[in-house]
Amino acid sequence: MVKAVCMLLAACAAFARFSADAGARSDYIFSESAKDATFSRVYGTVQYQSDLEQIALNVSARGYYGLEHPEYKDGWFDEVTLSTDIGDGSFLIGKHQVNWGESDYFRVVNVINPIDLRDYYLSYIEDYKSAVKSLWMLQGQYFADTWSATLIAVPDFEPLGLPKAQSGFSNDVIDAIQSLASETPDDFSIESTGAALRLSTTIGDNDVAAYLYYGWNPEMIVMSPRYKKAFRRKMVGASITRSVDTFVLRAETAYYPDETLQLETFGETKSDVLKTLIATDWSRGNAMASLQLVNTCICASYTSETAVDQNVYEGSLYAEISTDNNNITFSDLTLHNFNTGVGMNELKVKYRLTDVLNVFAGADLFWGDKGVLAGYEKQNRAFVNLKYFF
Amino acid sequence: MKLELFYVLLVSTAAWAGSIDADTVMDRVKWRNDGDSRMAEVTLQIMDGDGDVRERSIDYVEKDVGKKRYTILYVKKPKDVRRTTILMKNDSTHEHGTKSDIWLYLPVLGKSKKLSSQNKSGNFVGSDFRYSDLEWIVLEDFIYTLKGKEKVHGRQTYKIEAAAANDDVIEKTGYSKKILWVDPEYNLIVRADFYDKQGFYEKRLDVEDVEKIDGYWTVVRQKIENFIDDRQTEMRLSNIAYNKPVPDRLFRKQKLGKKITW
Repeated sequence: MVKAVCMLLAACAAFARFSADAGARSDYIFSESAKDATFSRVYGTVQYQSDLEQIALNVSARGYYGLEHPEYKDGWFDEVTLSTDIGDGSFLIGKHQVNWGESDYFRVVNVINPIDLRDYYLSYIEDYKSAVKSLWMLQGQYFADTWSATLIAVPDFEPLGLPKAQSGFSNDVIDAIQSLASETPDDFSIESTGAALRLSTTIGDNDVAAYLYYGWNPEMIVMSPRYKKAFRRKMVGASITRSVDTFVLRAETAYYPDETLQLETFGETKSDVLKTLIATDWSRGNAMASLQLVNTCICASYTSETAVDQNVYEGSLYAEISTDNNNITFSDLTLHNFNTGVGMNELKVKYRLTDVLNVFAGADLFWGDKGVLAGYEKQNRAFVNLKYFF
Repeated sequence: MKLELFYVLLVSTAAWAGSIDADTVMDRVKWRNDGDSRMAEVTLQIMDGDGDVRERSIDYVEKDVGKKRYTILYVKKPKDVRRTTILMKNDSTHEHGTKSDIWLYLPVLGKSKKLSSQNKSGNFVGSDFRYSDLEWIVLEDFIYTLKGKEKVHGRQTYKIEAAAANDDVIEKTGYSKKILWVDPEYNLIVRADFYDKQGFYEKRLDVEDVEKIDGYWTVVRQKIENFIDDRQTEMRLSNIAYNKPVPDRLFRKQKLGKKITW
C-alpha cells in the first residue's frame, strides 16, 4: 500500500505540472492514566498547477493512513479551483481555503473555513492548511489603484472536524457529541449560502482591511432533545498591520452580533461576542519571535438573551532561529489560556537533510485540565517526522 | 544620434577627468536606465566547502512606477519551500528617505505575512545573498567615498567605499562597510567586498558576465564567495525580458503564492 502510494506520487511528480510530497510520522504518546502508545502514519499530497495562460486550474489532494490503526485513514481534495484574471479583476470558482486576517493560531476574522481537528490538536500548527476544511465557493477580486475588494459566496457547509469517536484523540465528551444526530444546512441551496467581503487598502504605513461575514458557525450546538444543530453567524471585523523598526505590529478585532453559544452555566444561549487580538513580531537576521494576546468577550448586551459577561484571555509566544544556512531550524511555541490555565508547549527542530528530504523531531507538553477538544492527557508526546518532496 | 554620442563623450570625459564624486556615481547606478519592467528566471547554485551543490530556482518580476519599484520573487526550487513568494516595495519618493515594505507568502499557512522592513540581513533562500543585496539600492543607508580607479576584469572602474550611515543600517543590512567597484559604462556594480557587523571581511561578489539585452546592460552571471562560511553562491539569469506590460495587480499581497502569469 505504502509503496504503491509512493510510486504514484513519484509518477505524478515526473510531470512538470505535478508536485507531490510524502512522509511518515511517528508519535510516542505519554499517558498518566493509560499505557504509553505509539501512533504512526504515512501521508502524502499531490498538487497540480496548469500552465494555461488565461485560466488556471489548481488541484490538490491529501491523504493519510494509520499504521497501528488501519481504520485511521482518509483522503480528500483540499483544492479544486479554476481561476482567471480579467482586466483589474480576478475570478475563482471551486473548493479551496481562505485565510483572512493577521492572527496566527487564533481565529478572529478568519472564519470562512472551519478548522479540522479530526487528527490531532496540533496538526493545524504543524501544517495549517491540512487542518482547515476546504469549502466550495465563488470568489471575485477587484484591484483598484489604492484599494482592493474581495467578495465571496459560499454555498457550502462543513461542520468543525472532530476526532473520530473512540479514537486515541477523542474523549467521552467528543464521543457523545459524535453520536448525536445533526441538523445541518442543505448543500448549495440559496438559503444556506454564506457570503463574505473584504476591503483592504494602505493608509500611510498601515495595511488596513475591513471584513464582513454572513454564513454558518461550524461549531454545532447540542440541542434538546439531543441533537446538534448549526446556526448562522454574522461578523464584522477590521485589521491593521505596520512595520516599525525591527518589529511588525498587528491588531485585529471582530464583532459577532447575536452569536448562538453553548456555555457551561447557561447552556444554549445567544450573546454578542467581541474578539480582539494584538500582536508583535520581531526579527533579526535568521531569528524571529512572535507574541500574540487575544481577548474574547462574551458581552452582556441588549440583544443577549442571558446576562452573560465573560472575558477569556489567551496568548501565544513563538520563537524560531535558523542556522547552517537555513538548513537547521529550532522553534518553540507556547499557547496558554489565562482563564482555564490550560496550555501547551512544542519544541521542534527541523533539519533539511537535502533539498527534497526534511526531518522534524520534537516534543509537546500540555498542562491544565483535560479540554473538550484536546484530551490533553493523551497529548504529551515526542515525535519524529520524515518528509520527502517529489 | 549625434547628440547622444556627444552627451556620452561629454559625460565620459568629465567622469574620467576626476570631476565626479562617489554620490554621483552611486546615483547613476540607482537611477540607471533599465526599462520600466524586467523579468527573468534566476538560478542560484550554492556550493559548500565540501563541494556539495544545492540549487534554487526563482521567477523574478520587477516593475518601476515613477520612483517606486515593485519586486516579486516566486520560489520554484527547492521543492520543500516551493510557492514561497516574496513581495518587496521600495518607495524612493518618501519624505524620510527610501521606504520599503516586504511581504512573505508561506504556502504552509496559505497566507501572506508582513515582514519587518528593517531586517534584511537574513540569507535569501539559504544562499550567500542577503535580502539587502537584492533590494533596490538605498542610497542614504551608506556614506560613499571615492577611492580611485581600478581595473576589474580588464575594464576601468570606480572604487568606492560605502560605510554604513549608522548602527541601525548595520543591523538592518548586516554590513558595516562595503567596497564597491562601479563600471561607468554599464552603471553597474561589477565587484563588491562585504564586511560584516563586526567589521570582518565576509565575502566578495564578482559579476562574471554582463550582456546587453533589449538595449539594457544586464548582469547575467555573478558569484559570491563567502570567506567566513567557506561557501559560494552563483546567480545566473535566463529568459530575461524588459518592458513587458506587467499589470499592477501582480504586486498585491492577495495575489502572492500563485504562479506568475498574466
